[in-house]
Amino acid sequence: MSLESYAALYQFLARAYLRPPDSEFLELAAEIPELRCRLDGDLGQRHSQLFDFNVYPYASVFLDPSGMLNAPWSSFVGGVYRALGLEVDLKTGVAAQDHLSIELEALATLLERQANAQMDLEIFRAQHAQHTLLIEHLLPWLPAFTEAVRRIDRGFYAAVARLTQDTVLAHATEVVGDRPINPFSFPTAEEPLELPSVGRKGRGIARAELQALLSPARSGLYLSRNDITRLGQALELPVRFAERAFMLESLIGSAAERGDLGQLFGQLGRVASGQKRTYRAWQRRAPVLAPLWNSWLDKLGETASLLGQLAEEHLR
Amino acid sequence: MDSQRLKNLGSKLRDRLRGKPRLAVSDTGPTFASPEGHAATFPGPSEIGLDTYPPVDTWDHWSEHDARAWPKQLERSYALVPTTCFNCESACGLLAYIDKETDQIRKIEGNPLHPGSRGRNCAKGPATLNQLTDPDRILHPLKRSGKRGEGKWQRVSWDEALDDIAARIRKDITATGGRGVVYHVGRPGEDSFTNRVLQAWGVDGHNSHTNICSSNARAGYTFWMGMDRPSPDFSEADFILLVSAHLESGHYFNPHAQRIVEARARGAKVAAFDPRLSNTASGADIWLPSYPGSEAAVLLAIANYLIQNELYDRDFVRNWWNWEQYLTDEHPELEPTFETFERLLGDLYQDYSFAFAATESGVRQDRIEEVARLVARSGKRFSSYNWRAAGAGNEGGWQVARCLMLLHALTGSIGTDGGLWPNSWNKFVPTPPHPAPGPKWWQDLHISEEYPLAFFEMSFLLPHFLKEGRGKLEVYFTRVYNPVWTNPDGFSWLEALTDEEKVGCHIALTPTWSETAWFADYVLPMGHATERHDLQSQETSRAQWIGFRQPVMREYFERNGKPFSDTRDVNPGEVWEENEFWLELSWRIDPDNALDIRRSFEKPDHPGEKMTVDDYYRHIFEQSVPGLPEASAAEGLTPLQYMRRYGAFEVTREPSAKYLEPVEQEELEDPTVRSGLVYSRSSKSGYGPQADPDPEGRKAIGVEVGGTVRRGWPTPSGKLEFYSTTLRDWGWPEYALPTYIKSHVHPDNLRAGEMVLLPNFRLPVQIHTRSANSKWLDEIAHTNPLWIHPKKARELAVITGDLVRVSTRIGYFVVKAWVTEGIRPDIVACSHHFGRWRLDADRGGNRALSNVVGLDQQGSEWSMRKQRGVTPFSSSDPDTDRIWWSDVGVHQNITFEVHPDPISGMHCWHQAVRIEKARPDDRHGDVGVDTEQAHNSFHEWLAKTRKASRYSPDGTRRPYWLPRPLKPSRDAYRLPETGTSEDKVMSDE
Repeated sequence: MSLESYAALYQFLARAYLRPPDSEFLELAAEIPELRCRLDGDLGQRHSQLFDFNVYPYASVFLDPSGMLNAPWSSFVGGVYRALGLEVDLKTGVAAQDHLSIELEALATLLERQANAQMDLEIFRAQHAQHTLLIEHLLPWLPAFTEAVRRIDRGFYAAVARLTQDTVLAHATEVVGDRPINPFSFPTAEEPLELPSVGRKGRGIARAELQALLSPARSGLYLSRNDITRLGQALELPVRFAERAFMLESLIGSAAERGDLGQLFGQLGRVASGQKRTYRAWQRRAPVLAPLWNSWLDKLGETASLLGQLAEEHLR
Repeated sequence: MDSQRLKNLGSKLRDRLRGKPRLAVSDTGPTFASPEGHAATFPGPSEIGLDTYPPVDTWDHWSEHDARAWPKQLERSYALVPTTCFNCESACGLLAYIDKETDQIRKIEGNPLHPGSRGRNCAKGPATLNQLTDPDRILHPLKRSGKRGEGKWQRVSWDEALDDIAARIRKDITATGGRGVVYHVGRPGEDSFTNRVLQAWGVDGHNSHTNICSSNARAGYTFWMGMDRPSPDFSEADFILLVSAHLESGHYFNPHAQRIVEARARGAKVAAFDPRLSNTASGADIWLPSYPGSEAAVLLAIANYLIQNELYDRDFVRNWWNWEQYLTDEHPELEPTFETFERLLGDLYQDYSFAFAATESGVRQDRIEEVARLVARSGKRFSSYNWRAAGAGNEGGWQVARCLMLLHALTGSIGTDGGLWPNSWNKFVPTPPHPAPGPKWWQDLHISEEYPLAFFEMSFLLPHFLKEGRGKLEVYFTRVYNPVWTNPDGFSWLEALTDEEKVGCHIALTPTWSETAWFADYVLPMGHATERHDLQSQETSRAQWIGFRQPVMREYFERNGKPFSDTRDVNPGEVWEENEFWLELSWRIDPDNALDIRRSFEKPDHPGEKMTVDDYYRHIFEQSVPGLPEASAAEGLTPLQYMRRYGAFEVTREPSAKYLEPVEQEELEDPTVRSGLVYSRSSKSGYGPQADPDPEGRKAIGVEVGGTVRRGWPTPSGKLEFYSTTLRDWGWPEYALPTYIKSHVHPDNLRAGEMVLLPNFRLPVQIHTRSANSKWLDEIAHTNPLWIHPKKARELAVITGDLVRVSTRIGYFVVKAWVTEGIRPDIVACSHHFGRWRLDADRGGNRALSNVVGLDQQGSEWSMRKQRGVTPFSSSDPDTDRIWWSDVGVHQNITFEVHPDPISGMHCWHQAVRIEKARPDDRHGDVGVDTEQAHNSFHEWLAKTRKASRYSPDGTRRPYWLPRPLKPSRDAYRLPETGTSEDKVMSDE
C-alpha cells in the first residue's frame, strides 16, 4: 500500500478520536462504507461517553505503572517526538502528547516524510522512526484500547476501532517485514500486584490495591466505568458512578454485604481471562508482532490467578 | 479489512484530505539536537555529529536523567572525567560519568575529543564499568601461604610485599646484574614507562607476548621497510584488502572500522581473506575463502599480474627499491640497469599465475582476478591490513606481510592519501625524563641463539628453555599476562611455574584472577582503565595523538579539593597502579643510590626527592609534546591539567611521509656517498637508514635520489628492501626475496587423517583474558563451539551440539560441534576466547565465565576435567543471580604444541588435528596433554632453526638494526666465544 494512503488513513483516524465529529468529519466518514451505515444517533454524545468517561485515549493510562493520565510515560513520549523531529501543538485540546490522535498523526507525518525523502539514509531514518512509534508506543496499548471501546460501543466507534486495528496491523506488518522484534516490557512497577486487603473485613480500605488492579501496566487489566457498571448489573448489585477505584471499592463493599464476593471476584477473573483472548487473537492475526503482547498475557494470567484465589476463598 | 480495501479507502481519503491542515503535529525534521540546542557537530578533532555528547564546558556539572529510573525523570548530576580504554591496544578514549551524589562511576562512554576513536567505542569500552564492580576482582595484595598453586593466600600489606620483592631484586642485581629478573607483559597499554624502569635497573628483563601475536606480521613488514606495522589511511582509500576478519574484530578494529565505513560510503571496495564466513567476509564486496597459509600465493599472483601488465609505478620502484643491490649481489654478470631489473622481475614471479593461486588457495580464479584489477585501479589509494590471522597461523606466515607489502611497493601506495602508512609515522612517543641506556648484557632466555631474527622475545618457549636448564628466574613478574591459559602448551607453563628451582618468586600484577596468577607467590591488584596512569599513542589513523589513561577518581578528587596521597586512596580496596608501584619499588631497591638506580626515580627538577606520577607526566607534557603547551596556555591550563581534563591531544593531523623528507643542508657535514647511502658527521640522530657507520665513523643519514638527499627508509640500504641482505646473510638466502612458503598445515605437510584447526579467530566483544570480567560481554559471547562444515559433519555423523574429540599432536580436547556452511569443508575452527577455568569453586577466576575443573597428573600426562560449568551466584552484584548461561567453552590452547617459526619466532597457531565423534567416556571440556611429547615437539621445531653461533655474519647475536622493545647496548650483541671454527658457516658458503 502506498505511503500516502496510510498517511491519509492515519489522518482520518486521528480526527475521529480527537474530538466529537463535526460536519466536515462526517462528510469524510460517509466516504467509508463500513462507517457510513453507522452514522446515526448522537455521535457527539457517544464520543464523550467513550473517551471522556470510559476509555481514555492516552498511552500513559495503559502503559504507565500509575495508570494515570499525564504520568511520566507522557513526558517520555514527548521526548520521543522531539528526538524524531516532530513538534506537537497541545493547544488542539489534548491533555498530553501521548493522546492516540497525536500518535496516529505522528505516523502520518513520518509517512509523508518518507514519501518526500530523496536519500536512502533519509528514507531509512523515516522508516526507523515509524518502526519505533509503532512497536514501542502504539501497538503495545492498542489492543487494550480498541477492545475496551468495542466492549462499550457496537456502532460507529466500534467500526472506527476496527479500522484502526486493520490499518495499524497492516502498516506495522509491512514496516517490520520478517525481522524479529523485541518483546514489549512495561516500565518496572515499584511492587508486584498484590491484593491482600481487597474484600477482607477489618483490613482497612484497599484503595491503593484497587488502583493497582485498575492500572493495566500493573495488572494487565483495563476496566472502564462501563465495565464496572456491567459487573454490578450482572450480580444485581448497586453501582455508584465515580472515580473508577471508588466505584470498584463500593461494588466490593456491596458484594461483601450481600455475601457475593466470591461471585464478584469470579466475574472479575473471567474479565481478565476474556481480555487474554483479545491479545491471543491479535497474536494470531499478526504472528510477527506476537512478542509485543506476551507481557500483557503474563500479567493478565497472574491477575486472573490472584482473582481466582480470592473467589475461591470467599466461595468456601 | 484486507489490504486492497484499505488501499482504496486510503486513496479516497487522501484526495479528500489534500490541503487540510494538521491537527497538532508538525515535521521539524530529524535534527537529533539536544534540548539544550548545542552544536550539531561536536567541537574538537572528531569533527563528527556527536551532538548527543555533553559539551566540554558542562563536564564539571553534567545533568541527565537516570536511565534506570525510567519512566520517572530522576535527574542526576555528574562530573565527566576522561581516560583511555584498557581492553585492547587501540587506546580508545573513554569518559567516566562520576555521580556527584555518591562519588561513584555510574557509566562509561566514549570521549568525543579523542582523535583515534572520535567518541565511538566498541562494546568493550563501556563494559569497563563491569570490571570496576566485578565481584571477583582482587582488592588487596595477597601472598601465597601454602604450596604454589595450592590456593592458600594471606593478605599482606603493600609495604611487606614491596620490601620483600625489592630485596630479592636488589640481591639479584648485586649478584648477577639482574639476570634473574624478568618482567613479562601481556599487553603493554602504555609507551615507555616500564621499559624505562627496566633500563634504569640495567636488566635485559623485558619479555612480551609478541610472538604469540604478531611476530610474523612484524617480520614481514620490517624486512621491507624497517618499520614493523601497517597504519593504513583507510578513510581515503579506494580499495581495501583485509587479510583477516579485521573489520569486525581485529586489532584496532574500532578506530579502523569507522574509517573503512567512511571509505565505503564514498564507494570504496573491500575484499577479505577469511576461511570462515565471518561478519567481515559477509560484509565485504569480495570474499576470498582461502586455504589457511595460501594467502601469499594469491598475493604473488596479483603481483605477477601487476608486473606482467606493467601496471606498477616504475618511478617509485626505480627510486625506492634496493634493486641495484640485488643486481650487484645476485647478478654481477648483468648490466646494472633498471631495465635489466625489470626483465628479471618479470621472470621472478611468472609461475604465480591466477590458476596456480586458485589451485593453491581454493578461491575462485575470477575473484582473485577481480581483486588484482582493483589493486591496479586503486593505485596509490590502495590500503590493506594484515596483523594476526594468516600471518599468525602459519609457518612462513611472515611472507604474507612481505608479499602484501610487495603490492604496495609496486603501486607506490605507501605514505599516500588512501595508502599504507608505516606505524612510526603515525605514532607519537614522547621522551620521558631521565632516559636510561639499554642493558649491558643479553638475556638468552629471551632471544636465544636459535632465533637471531625473532620478533621479539621467544616468550612462549620459556618453560622449555627453563626445562633444559638454560637459566633460572629469581624474580618473575607477570603483568596482565596469562600464559597458562593463553599460550600454547599451558601444562608446560604450569610445570615451570610450580617448580621453585626454575621460578624463584612469581609476582602477578593483575586486576583479576587468572589461571597463571593462581600459581604466583604474590598477587598484587592493579587498576583497570579508570584506575591507573598510562600514556599511550597508537597508529590508528593518519594522525599522531597521545591518549592519557588516568585514575578518574583522583582527578575528580583533585577538582573538588578532596585529599589523597596516592592512587590507592581513590581506588577500590587497596588496588594500586603500576606507575606508582614501579616508582616506589625502584626507590626501595636502591634507597641510597648505591646501584645508580634511584637517580632515575628522583624528581627531574629536585634531585634527591622521590619522583611522583605528576612529576613524570608533567615533564613529558611540558617538554616533549609539540603544541601541547600552547594549546594548554590558550585555555589557561598547564599541559598536565589539559591532559587530565581532555584525556587526549592531537599532535598532528598531517604526518609526513618521512622517506621523502629532504635532509637539511646543515646535517650534511663532510658527507660521503656509498652505494646510494649518504653518510655525515652530523651528531643529530633520528629517523634514517639503519646502516653501520662508514670506516671513518660517519653515520648514514639519508639516500640520494634524483639529486636530492632524502631520509629514505630505516633499513640497512635506506631503501625498501625487496632484496633482504639480512635474511641472506643470517642463513636464509632462499627467502631474501618475497616468496611463498608452504605452511606447516599445507596439505603436503599433514599426516594421514589430519585436517586444519583454525584456533585464532576473535569475537568482537572479547579480548583474550582481559575482558572476561565484564558481565555484559560475557552474556553476549561465552562459548566456543567447533565450526564444522555439514560435509565433514555428515562424515563424522555429528549434528550441532554433539561432542567431538579434537586431537592435536600432543593431546586432545572435547568440544561441542556447531555445524555451519560458513566454513570451508576442509578446516574446522574454534575461537580462542573461551574455556577459562579455575581450581577453586569460590576463588581464582571469574565465576561468570570459568569452569571449575580438576587437574590430574600421571608422570608427564596431564588431564583436565570440568567439574562444574557456570551457575548463578549471589554477590554484591544482583545480576550474578541472573546468569542464564552455563557453557563457557573449552580450553583448546593448552593442547597445542609449540610451533616457533624458525625465522620470525612466531608461534604458528594453526594446528594439524584429527576429529572424531566423542568417545563414550568423553565429557565436554575434557583435556589431555603429554608434556614430554610437547617437549619433543619443541625440539622438532628447534631443529628447523639456523643458529646465530653458526650463521651470524659478524659474530653478533642479532642484526643490530632490527628492533627490540628494549634494546641492549651494542656490546651485548657480541656472541660469547664458545663455538668451534668448524661450526661456523663462512660467509661465502
